[in-house]
Amino acid sequence: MQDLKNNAQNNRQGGGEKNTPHPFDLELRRVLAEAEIQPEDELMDKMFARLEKTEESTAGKQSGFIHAKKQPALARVLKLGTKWSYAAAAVIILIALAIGIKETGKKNTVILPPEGLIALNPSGNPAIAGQKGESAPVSRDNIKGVKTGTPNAAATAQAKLNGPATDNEKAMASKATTPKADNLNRSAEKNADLAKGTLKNVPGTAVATVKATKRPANQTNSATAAFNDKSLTTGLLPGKTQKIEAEKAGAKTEGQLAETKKELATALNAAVKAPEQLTQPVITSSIDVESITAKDYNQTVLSDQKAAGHRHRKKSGGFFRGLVQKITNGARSISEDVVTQDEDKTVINIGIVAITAYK
Amino acid sequence: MKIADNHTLDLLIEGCIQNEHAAQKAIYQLYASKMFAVCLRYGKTKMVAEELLQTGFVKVFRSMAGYRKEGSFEGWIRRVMVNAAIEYYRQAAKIRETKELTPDLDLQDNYGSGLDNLAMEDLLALVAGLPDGYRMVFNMYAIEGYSHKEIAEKLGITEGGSKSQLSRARALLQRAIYKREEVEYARFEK
Repeated sequence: MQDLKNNAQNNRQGGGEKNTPHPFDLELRRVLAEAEIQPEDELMDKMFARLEKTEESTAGKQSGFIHAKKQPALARVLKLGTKWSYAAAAVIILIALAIGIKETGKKNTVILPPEGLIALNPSGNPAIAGQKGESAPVSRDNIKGVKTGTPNAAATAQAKLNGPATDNEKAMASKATTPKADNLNRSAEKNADLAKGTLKNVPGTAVATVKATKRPANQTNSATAAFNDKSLTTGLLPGKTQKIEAEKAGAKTEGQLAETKKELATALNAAVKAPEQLTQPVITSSIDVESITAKDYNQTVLSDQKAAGHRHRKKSGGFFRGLVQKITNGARSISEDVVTQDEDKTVINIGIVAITAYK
Repeated sequence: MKIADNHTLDLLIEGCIQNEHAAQKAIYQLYASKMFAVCLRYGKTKMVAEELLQTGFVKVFRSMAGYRKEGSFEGWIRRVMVNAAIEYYRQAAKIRETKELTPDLDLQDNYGSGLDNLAMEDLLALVAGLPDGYRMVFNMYAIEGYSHKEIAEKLGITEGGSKSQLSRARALLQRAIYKREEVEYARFEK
């Protein structure tokens, strides 16, 4: 028998129409009371398969809940560890950035042509005051501006130092002080290094001068050899006529040789004068030249070599290797450059900021 | 249908609570045909009815421990099935709110007593042919005995909507039965 709900409830609650069960409803209920329709057998298997699946999922959820409940301490520790790792990563990034800023502030290799230096120093003043105090005309404000400012500030400071200059000179000065995009911060020390770097070229220039001096001599020798070589004339005209012509030709050749000698002498004089011209910018910045010691020169060369080697390694090595190298170089440079003492003052470099204490 | 005595039924219920597969199978075989008839009334198609039967029995076995033995076990299973059907209906479709009953649709006095002439499958097919909302309300009110208030709460409609849908469902069903009788009569005449 079907256990149908008593429809009298409808009457009690007033939900039924006219508070009595509808005759059609009663009739239908009577018919449906005995209704039995056998489902397919497969349905039972499907139902039990679904039942097992739901039981498994429920068990899985419960076990997961228990697992999560049993290890709250571990989860907290993991969370804490994650937080600390984030903090450590942030600190490492900050350090790397600081070192990177410091490193990018350094000039790696800048070679100025002598003309550029001449343009920079028409009046013979030093390009930028170094930290050793040799350059009296440079004020502290200018140095600070150069150290902490942008390339534009550096260019402005340099222009001030160089006094009244033409527009071309100014342009050259700004170009000279911003030779690389990554050299954002020009310090007075770095600009002093510029002059040092130029000095490095002096021996090469001297060699070139000597070579230029030797060249006219070689030319003279070759001209003389050509004159002495009679085979050129003897084979052309036989007899006396030939001799006369040969003498004439010899006289002509002698005249030519004399002219050539004169030209060569002029060239030689010019070549002899050339070293003076080439070394002029160095001489104009004689204060710097005198102050450059062998140690400074070696440091400049070493820094150039380091930078070149570093660039090479950066290409061949990975990111982390480059980073480690960068950190090492930065730490080394910081240790080298952090304090520069002098008779008058002490300069302490902290990152891109320089603190100068006068005695 | 095999009617299990109370002792046997209690043992089977205990077995189901203990998650014994044999007991669950026995309970299924005892009540599946009756419950499938109920599901056929609520489902629009046979496939939906089968889905409702499976879902209903899964719920029965999972919540067997909640059976307090206060009423008949069959009634409890039926209620679980009806609730499964209501849940399915609420998820699958929305009940269309119909306007209040109009007099021309009120055919309560014109019902015929032709239900006896109809086969069970035909009657269930006619019920299944009703629109979703009509069928739900009609089944819940006319067969299960829910009040309009309960129907409104369970289906998320107003009491007035429940009443109007019941009347429309009844009228449609009566008209369908009447037409069916006419067809059968014409066939018999030939």
